[in-house]
Amino acid sequence: MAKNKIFSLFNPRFLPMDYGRAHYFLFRLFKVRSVGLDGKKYKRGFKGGALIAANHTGFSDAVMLGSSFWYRRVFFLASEEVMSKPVRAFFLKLIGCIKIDRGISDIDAVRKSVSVIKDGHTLAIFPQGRIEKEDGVSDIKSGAVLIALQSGAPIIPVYSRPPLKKSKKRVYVIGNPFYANEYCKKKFPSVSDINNISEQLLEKINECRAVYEKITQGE
Amino acid sequence: MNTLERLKKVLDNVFEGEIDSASVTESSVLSDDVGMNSIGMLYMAMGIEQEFGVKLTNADLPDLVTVGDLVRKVEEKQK
Repeated sequence: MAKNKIFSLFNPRFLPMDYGRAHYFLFRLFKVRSVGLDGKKYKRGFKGGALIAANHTGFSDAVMLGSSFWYRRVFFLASEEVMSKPVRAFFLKLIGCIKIDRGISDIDAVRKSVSVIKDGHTLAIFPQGRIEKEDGVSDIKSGAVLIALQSGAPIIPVYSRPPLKKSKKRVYVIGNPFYANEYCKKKFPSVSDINNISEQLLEKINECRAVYEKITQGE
Repeated sequence: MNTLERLKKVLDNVFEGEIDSASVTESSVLSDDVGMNSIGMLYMAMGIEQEFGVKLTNADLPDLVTVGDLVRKVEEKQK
């Protein structure tokens, strides 16, 4: 096996993240089922830097989403509330959380997110910006699209909800990757361009939701 | 084209007419006169990076009250 291949699976620089991924793998086996839009088992459909945009139903989402993509190092954008306690923030940073302060124009967090993606990693964002326990996604923030436009990476829409029965595996529906840049060729994307692409993303997350409903019907 | 004119161009491109850049002067207050909110400032920072090649950071934000402050900050970072 080539050295690069080994490093893509395990890298001492990302030791805590890779340790976490070992746990993700176990979750993946016993707790999570990933499917594509066709309802069949999801095939790893992307390489290189990417942005995962998923709905947010609870604190377990990060672990479960990480488990769906256990074969990749997944960084997360975490709100200032989650990162408010220093000890917790220290450990969350170790496992790949990037703090974003939603109250200000957090340019540093956006830039760091773009650099993580440009380094070839995966960044997961919950574009609703908060936990929403209701079914479906009605509104998302435009930050995810801004990061995607800046990094040039594909966005992967994802939808999931915790299963009603705890014995069931949690189903993740993973949509087809799409490029925000395909919807906007301008040098300066305007606010309305970014809002339009955010609408597209919302539509794609809800497409995943429709598949989710079909698969979990009767469960 | 001076820095203020180039900034107005960025404003026009990013906000596509939502902000009347013709009435913007160095003394215009970003939050009140220009109507810039936190996400607007984020878009603006990205536009400035593309137009001027300078990177604004979180540490720069508290200094930016008026358009003149923004002009001076961009010029300072260009040196």
